[in-house]
Amino acid sequence: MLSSETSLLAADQVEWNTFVPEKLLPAIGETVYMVSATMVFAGALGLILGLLLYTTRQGNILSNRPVNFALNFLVNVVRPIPFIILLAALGPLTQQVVGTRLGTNAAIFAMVCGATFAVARIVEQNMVSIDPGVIEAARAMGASKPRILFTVMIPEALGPLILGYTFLVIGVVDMSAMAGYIGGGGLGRLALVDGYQRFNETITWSVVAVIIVLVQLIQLAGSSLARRVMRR
Amino acid sequence: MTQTQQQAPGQATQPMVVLSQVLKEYKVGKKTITAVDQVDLTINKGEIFAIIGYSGAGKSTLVRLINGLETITSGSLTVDGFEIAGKRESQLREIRSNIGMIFQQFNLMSSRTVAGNVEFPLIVAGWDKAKRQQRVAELLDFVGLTDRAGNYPDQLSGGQKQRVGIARALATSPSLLLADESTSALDPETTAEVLALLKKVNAELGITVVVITHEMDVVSSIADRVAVMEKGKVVESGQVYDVFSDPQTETARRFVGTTVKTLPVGQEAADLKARHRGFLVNIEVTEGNDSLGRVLSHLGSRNVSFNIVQGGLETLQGQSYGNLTLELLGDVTSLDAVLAELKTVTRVREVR
Repeated sequence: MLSSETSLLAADQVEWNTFVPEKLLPAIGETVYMVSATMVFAGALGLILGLLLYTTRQGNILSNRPVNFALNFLVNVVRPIPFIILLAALGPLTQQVVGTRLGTNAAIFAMVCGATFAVARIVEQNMVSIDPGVIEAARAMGASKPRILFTVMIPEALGPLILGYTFLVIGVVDMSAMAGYIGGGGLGRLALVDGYQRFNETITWSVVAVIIVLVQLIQLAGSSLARRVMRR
Repeated sequence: MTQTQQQAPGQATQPMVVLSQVLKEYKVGKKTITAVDQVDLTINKGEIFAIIGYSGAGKSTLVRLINGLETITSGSLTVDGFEIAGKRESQLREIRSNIGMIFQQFNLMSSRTVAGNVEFPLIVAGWDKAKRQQRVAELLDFVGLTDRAGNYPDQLSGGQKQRVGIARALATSPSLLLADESTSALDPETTAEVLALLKKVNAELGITVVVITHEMDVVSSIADRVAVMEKGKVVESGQVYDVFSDPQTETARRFVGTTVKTLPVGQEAADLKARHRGFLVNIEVTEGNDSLGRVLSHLGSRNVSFNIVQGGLETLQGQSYGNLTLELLGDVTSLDAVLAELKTVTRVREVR
């Protein structure tokens, strides 16, 4: 009785001197790497997909009903798949593209696939809020379609887009925690393997605390950037 | 009825915009809606032309056909000799730099400063940076907003926003300016300010202005000619004074009634009759009608006296027009003689 209690207590002990530099800091680095890489690829691909979703809507500059329908269908098929299932299901494709289905880079590939469609929806929804009158005014001035897209639509929606991307970065941090499942690194794996599976609640909760701080910082940066762009 | 057919001095008579048999239909589900119905209209170079109508009359659609924002279903529409009908968006781009447009809700880009908004059409037209900056400074000076160059639209009042809209529309020195309900979102004082600016655009720069409105005040204060629209059709058109001093349709009469007191009817007539025991007649006052004053000044010698009990006068294109309701007092024989004489000099209607 006494010995088992001692062992549980012992399991909760953390050697901070070695844990922080050897485990926590590299894990933070890996998480930042995974999230950044995902946001670069998914951010760009999702932006293109989202702009297509928006501009092919009826009455918009590239109005095209079949293309819009097909894109919507694709997004609606991929989006509801739980990420943990997508991670496993993408295995064979990940093998083809990345060369392995395990590890951090394999996880990034799956995260890009999942996040692209979320980015696309967020981009589309924020673009819809643009005043159609402003687009009409640009057409009346003789602006071409690409010019309207890049110098009117995107700048007009930039503030909400930044907020949308911030929201998604946080979602991707959440996704990255699941990457541990296929041998990806990062804070998620640390909390899962060193904390939860070894009954070391101190590690679990200190990693969670680090994730919370990380999310706070991202939100703060995103909000202040959006405020500067929107001037409100 | 005084008809004034003479042209204002210096007014050009070459056509700027010519619509012939212009039809615009929309398909909403299985229903076809006719927004503009077989319209024939000529807008001359150098004039301010107003199109007035209630909402849903098709006037906003009509103005969008002129710069091709909406496509024409059938018919022909030329701007400065260039056919708009059947052109693709890419073919319309060049002509659009010759047509400025301002909007009810201003439609400024909130992400650009005042100067940035005015500069935008110049970027579209491919001007180099030094020329753009010089032109923006000129335009902001013209609309009186030089000190607001670095502000964002959110920081401006409605009237200032519309002046930015006007500066932006004039950037590429168009020969035609389309104003779609450009004062409808503004208070009366700001409206007057924007209308004065439109008049200045027309007078100083010689730009033809097409004004779309549902406000009679806008027409009476700046327009040379007017077209009245109803259910997609132009039901009346001509010199502003001619159309509104002798309206032929119910729609035109209602618009005149919004600025000029006309024949009292219904409750208004009943109230007047309750207050005045004499015989109530409504007479029309038109520019240059000296006979009317002569008749009225001799009423005393016919044993008839009169009181002015209701009425209103308006100046249209520098000419007076209005209606007065008179209470005539005297015996029946004298009244009949006076009414007969009045009828020889103006339109007389009994208040019932």
